[in-house]
Amino acid sequence: MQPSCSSFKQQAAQALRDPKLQGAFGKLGDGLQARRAAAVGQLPEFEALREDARRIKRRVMSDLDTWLEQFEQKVLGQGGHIHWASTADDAREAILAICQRVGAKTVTKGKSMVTEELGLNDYLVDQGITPVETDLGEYILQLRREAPSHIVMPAVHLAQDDIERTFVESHPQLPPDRDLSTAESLVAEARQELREHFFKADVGITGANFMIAETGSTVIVTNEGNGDLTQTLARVHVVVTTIERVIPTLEDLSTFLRLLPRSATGQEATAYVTLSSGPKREGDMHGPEEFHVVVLDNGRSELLGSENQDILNCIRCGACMNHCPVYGAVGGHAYGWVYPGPLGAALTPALIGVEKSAALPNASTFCGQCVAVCPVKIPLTDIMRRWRVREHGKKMTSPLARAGLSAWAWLASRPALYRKFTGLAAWGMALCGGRRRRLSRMPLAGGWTRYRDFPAPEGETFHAQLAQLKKRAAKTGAEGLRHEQGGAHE
Amino acid sequence: MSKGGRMSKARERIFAAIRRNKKPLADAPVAGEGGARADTIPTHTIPVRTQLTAEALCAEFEHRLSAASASVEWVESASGIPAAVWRHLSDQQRRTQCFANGSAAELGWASVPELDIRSGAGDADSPVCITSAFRGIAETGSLVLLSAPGHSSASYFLPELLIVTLSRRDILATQEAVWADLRRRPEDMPRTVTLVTGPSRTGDIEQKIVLGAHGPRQVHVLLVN
Amino acid sequence: MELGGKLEVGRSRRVALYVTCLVDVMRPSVGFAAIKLLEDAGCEVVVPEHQTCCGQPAYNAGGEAEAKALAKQVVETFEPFDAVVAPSGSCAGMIRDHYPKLLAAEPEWRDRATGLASRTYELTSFLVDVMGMESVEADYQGAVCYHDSCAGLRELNIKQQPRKLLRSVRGVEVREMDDAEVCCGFGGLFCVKYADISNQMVSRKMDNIEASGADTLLAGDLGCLLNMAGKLTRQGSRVKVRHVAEVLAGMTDLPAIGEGEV
Repeated sequence: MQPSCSSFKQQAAQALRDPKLQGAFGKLGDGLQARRAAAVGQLPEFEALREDARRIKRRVMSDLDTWLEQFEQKVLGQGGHIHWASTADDAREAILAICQRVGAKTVTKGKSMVTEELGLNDYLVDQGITPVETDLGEYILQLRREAPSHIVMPAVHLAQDDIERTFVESHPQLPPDRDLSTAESLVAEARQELREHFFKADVGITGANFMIAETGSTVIVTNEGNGDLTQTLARVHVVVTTIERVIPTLEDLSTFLRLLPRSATGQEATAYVTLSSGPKREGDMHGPEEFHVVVLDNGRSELLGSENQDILNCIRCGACMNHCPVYGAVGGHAYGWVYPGPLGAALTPALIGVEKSAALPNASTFCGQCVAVCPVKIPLTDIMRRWRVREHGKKMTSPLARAGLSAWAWLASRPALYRKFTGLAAWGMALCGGRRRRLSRMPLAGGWTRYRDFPAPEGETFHAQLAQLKKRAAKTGAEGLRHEQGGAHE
Repeated sequence: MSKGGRMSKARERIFAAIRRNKKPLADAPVAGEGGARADTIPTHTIPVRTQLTAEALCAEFEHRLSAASASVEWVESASGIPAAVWRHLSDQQRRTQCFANGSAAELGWASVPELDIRSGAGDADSPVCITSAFRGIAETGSLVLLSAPGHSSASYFLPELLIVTLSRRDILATQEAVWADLRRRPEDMPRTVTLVTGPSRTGDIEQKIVLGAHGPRQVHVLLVN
Repeated sequence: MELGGKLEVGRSRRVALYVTCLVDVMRPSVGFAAIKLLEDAGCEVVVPEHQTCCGQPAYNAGGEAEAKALAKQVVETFEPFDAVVAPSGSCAGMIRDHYPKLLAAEPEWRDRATGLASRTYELTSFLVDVMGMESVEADYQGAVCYHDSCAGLRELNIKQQPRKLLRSVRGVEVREMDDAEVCCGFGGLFCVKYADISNQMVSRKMDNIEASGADTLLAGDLGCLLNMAGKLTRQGSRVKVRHVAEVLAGMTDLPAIGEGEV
């Protein structure tokens, strides 16, 4: 997927003008946020689990190579294959090689953000292979040729009537007057349409929420069941995942399974959690003949040991975006690449370079709600701030902004001069505010006054008023501030 | 360069970068010698609500099952299962063709001749599948289904209605208890371990929850006393 | 929230007021209200002369060197006092939460910053949590709603303290608006750099304020207040906006923020 993060502002402006999009993202509060709050409220140990999860992740990262090697040994021992991919190119080629070797014509896919990172669908189509997305949201988007706008709810930006229209256009073999007026009828139609694909597919590609070193299993955490049909009914199962997803033991998995569904959708447990270990065994009725795990790095190993390492702890629950007021205002597409919201603002610069994505870590008020809900306690705002430091250090910010910043710092480190300047500013702005006591326009703050007034200051600064009070107090011999100050305001 | 050569290069590059960059943790256990062995497993926080008496365990399991939109029914013994299945299907006015899996296939189905029981996993249009669970988890109302010869993992996802039998003594409090039982078995880790918690569902259309996305619309649990 | 280690609840002490840039320039009466409240609580209030900016704008814009220089200046200026109090969750949070991180690479400064951080408070939390204040002597006629500013809420756990004191003001009815904890869209330079998004956020806030039926909007941070007041006056709303300290100190003779002739 070609990133367009540097056009974040324009993309955001477009989203803000789209009433349908505003409606869709406006529902996050009553939907996913409320559901998470209810589920978390019912589990008194939630905070302790977050701390456990953070600890597990730190332990994994401190010895990532060991856990990956253990995982590899187990996969090989169970008759599976493992493919290491340093770059997106490596991963695409490894997947293509498997597909070509088994003569694959169609590939079913479970939901996988890593394959979005690879731009896998377009790549397979170019090679004459047909990918079929089977997650309902992803299926809808594939029909509409759109990218996901959320990592858990990919089609959350769409309204039901958009989906209805898409199905009418995309399923011309069905009666045009059929009733598609309910979410239930749309779900039923997608179920019917996708059924045969599961059986016909030569290769089934899924992601993995976790890899377990102890057992050599890949784990998917899902609700629809399409991921399981994808990985069970195709002749070959290819898991596409990334290096940081490995965890040591089944017990570690249980801790994450208490956090992930509550954080993502407010569920106590998702409908399905499946651990897959190797290919079909003797006597098995179903299951893939081949089991492959493609493990992608794509820049992640360079985060390891860095000040931004903690972003590797992410378990992709989406809570940070569900609770982000910026994401809630502009939606996922504005972010311009695979990972939107606070996760994207913290991760994207590491994967595609801060040069192409500096707008993302800047698009935050640092309100901290993402940090407050993150199930693995990633300091997302600190990471975003460090990308800003990087951007500033590389002189990528505007010269005017840099000059303004150093001028302010220079002034603020000279208190006497600073007083003179602030005194003038307060006086000037109060004057401009006049009897309306507010400004409708202000130089260098067009962004502010386009949408709001700028309240005028009182006139004299606090420090100037205090100095006068002190002077008067000295003259009259009064003691302390208290009396004088009371007088000043009566 | 051959594909295989390129891949081992990639492996070398990734592991070299990890070893170069990783920072040791002062309090990390020694992972080098197969740290993830069953006897060195660290334990984490377990919710207090899972500390239950045997009686309460069943009640909690039932409660969580219904919270997850599954239905549940007690039968006195395994021999009562066929009749219970028949009752459930006729209540629902369903077709009577069922696929039975695993130990569920060996029940006395002949006692209910109205049922058309076939052994196997079913196909794209299977209306009903009956299978047996390895364990139940009271904490979440989850059923633990294993793949094994005669036990098809596809059968948990293909039918409209999934009926699962589970013995009372196999209801455990937590996932952790299930993992311990799995490790105690002489066999290897099953090819698939699936935790099923209620019917299939989706929230992909305007965040509305709809049951029966790709998998079963209904999950019915027969608890055997 | 931690109660600052060695400080003992209820004891009189020498407190330094950190006025903050915005209060200094935009709303000095908040500073005087803070002095009154602190003195009423039994503190001896000092306003150190050398104070300017805490460095947060530079810090959040990626200007680490500039932020460090200003942080050191603040540490030096305020170190001699028992406690530092600011009528702002954002500036207090900067000192408490961020200075130790910002200066982490310089052990001496880090330790001094950590020391100062443990004695730095936002005004209402200092009054309630440290001074044990239960009520204030003030009158205000109106239904107020309180916006929880992000830094105060999430960095300093300020939630009940201002509400507790507000309930003791004669004539005040405290109402809760929906999403009181959601950011108003100010975010320092964010509101100018990402004006469109900021506007969307503050507009949603307006809807919640109006729906609460309150006639006065209060908060503990002037940045948020200026943002919301500017939007309210632009929309022609009759809701008045004040810093919570003004109401608690009974100093509400001055027109509300942005309030003037139409």
